[in-house]
Amino acid sequence: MIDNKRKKTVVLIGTICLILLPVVATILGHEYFISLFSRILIYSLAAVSLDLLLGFGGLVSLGHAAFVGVGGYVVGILFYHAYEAEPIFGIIPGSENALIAIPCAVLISALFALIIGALSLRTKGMHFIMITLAFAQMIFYFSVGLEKYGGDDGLSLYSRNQMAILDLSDDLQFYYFCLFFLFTFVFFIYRLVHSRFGLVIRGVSLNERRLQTLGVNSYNYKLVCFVIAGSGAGLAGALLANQAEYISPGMMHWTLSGELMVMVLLGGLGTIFGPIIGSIIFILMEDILGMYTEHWMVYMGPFLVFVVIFAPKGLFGLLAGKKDSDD
Amino acid sequence: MIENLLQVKGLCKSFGAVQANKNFNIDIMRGSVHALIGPNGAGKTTALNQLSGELIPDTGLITFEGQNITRLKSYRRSRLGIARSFQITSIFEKMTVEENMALSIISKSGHNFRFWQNGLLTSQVRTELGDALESVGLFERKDVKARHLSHGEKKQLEVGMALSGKPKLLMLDEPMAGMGPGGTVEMSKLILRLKETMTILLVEHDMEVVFALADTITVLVSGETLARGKPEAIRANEFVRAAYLGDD
Repeated sequence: MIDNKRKKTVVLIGTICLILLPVVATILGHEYFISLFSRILIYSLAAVSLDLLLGFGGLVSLGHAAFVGVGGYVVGILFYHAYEAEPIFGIIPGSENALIAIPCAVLISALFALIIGALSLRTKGMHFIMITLAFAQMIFYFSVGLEKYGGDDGLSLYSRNQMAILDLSDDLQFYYFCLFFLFTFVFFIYRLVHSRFGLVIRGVSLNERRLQTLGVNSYNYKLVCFVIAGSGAGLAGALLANQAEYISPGMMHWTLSGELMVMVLLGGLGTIFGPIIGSIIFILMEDILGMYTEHWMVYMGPFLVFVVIFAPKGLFGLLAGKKDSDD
Repeated sequence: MIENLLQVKGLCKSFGAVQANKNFNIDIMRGSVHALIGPNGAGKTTALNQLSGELIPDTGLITFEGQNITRLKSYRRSRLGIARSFQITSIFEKMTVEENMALSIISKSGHNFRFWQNGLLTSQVRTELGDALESVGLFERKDVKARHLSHGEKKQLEVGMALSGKPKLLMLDEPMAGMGPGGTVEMSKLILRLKETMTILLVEHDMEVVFALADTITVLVSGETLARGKPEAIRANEFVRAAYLGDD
């Protein structure tokens, strides 16, 4: 389904590497990489969802972390109430079941995206950037105010969600659990941007005024796009809460929105697969350079500038060939 | 019965202190080519933008087929059958010619919340795409990115996109601008051909083209309607000559 040979090869090699990674890590005795890469897969998922907004919808949202946070908090809050055996508001029972918690997290972040999107998408450009940031900060401070769930300090979960067949507390199984969601989501987004809906969405970002005179009510399309991206981020948040067994307001801080944006730019804006490479590089740099200095961003900054100037389609563009990724 | 497709009464639009349109009136007869001419800054494009719905007038009334559309959004007007091209070519530069055309075809259908099926392979697109590209002579160029087209080809594509969905009223904003003599002849032929199936509002600077194509001409000067009539009458009108055509 990918027409270009070189691009196909890059995606295929990447897929095989991600599938084999835990095996290689185990053989080499570096099991630590399995949990590190679980985290990378989760950030990749969030970054790919942001790429749908930035790269295809032309919607620069600086509040994407809000949905990651909402997803995480839904899992955390459900877990807390199940653990304490105390229904939420006295009626809704909590749950430790991944098959309940994760869909709930996705649905509720979709709902947040619907409300925030419906209001923010009435604005454009700089105003849109600022209003998404403002909403994200509102949700951030709201979570800080949730004393019951740890307020500022966040909330530790005592374990990961439970699930039949899979043991999510096993890092290896959890890795493949995350990989499954990433692959599914990427496949979905790939089909989406090449679908009829995707054609309209790309049209919105390229020339919205023209599209309206052709008969398209662009607002509705942007809103659906925003909700899909928000759901993806919510899914990432739900997985992140499980991975870290911890939720905190930090999950929805604007710096995370910024980091996701860096991952997208690094990997390649509007390339779908690129943000995965972006998040691998970003988190590996954070992890490796972070061992030597807490000011690792000093190295990250120039690297990002270099990539953005010399590789407009990011690292994926360099690998897959500029010509083809330029769609 | 007087067959007026579009009627505009007393349209006013100001941007701050600048009054772009003052009491602008125009009646466009069904099946005619109606030209709107005037010197630079006369408010032609502003008027057009209000007819297409991109600008909402301060006061005045616009009716299309008897329906009041003064405050209707542009996408709704498009679905009623009002299409336009832009003075500065407005296409989707980063898409292929084929994608541009497909997008204009699917824009006309009620909704496109189809998340799975390939955008170029829907049945509606498949049946219309070839003909639509053929009609503006771009079939051979369908896989080329729109930004690599020549200026004339871009204009052709833009008109082709406006034509999809068979509009009742086609508004062309300076379709000849920047075209060589060959392109002008081609575009004139296209307009004459289109005239048989739709009504055309032509905003144009090239007077030869206007006098050759138009059935009726409205002259706009400083936002106001200066004259209206048949080409011969306009050519003879001394106010128009003084204000615009140049007294030779």
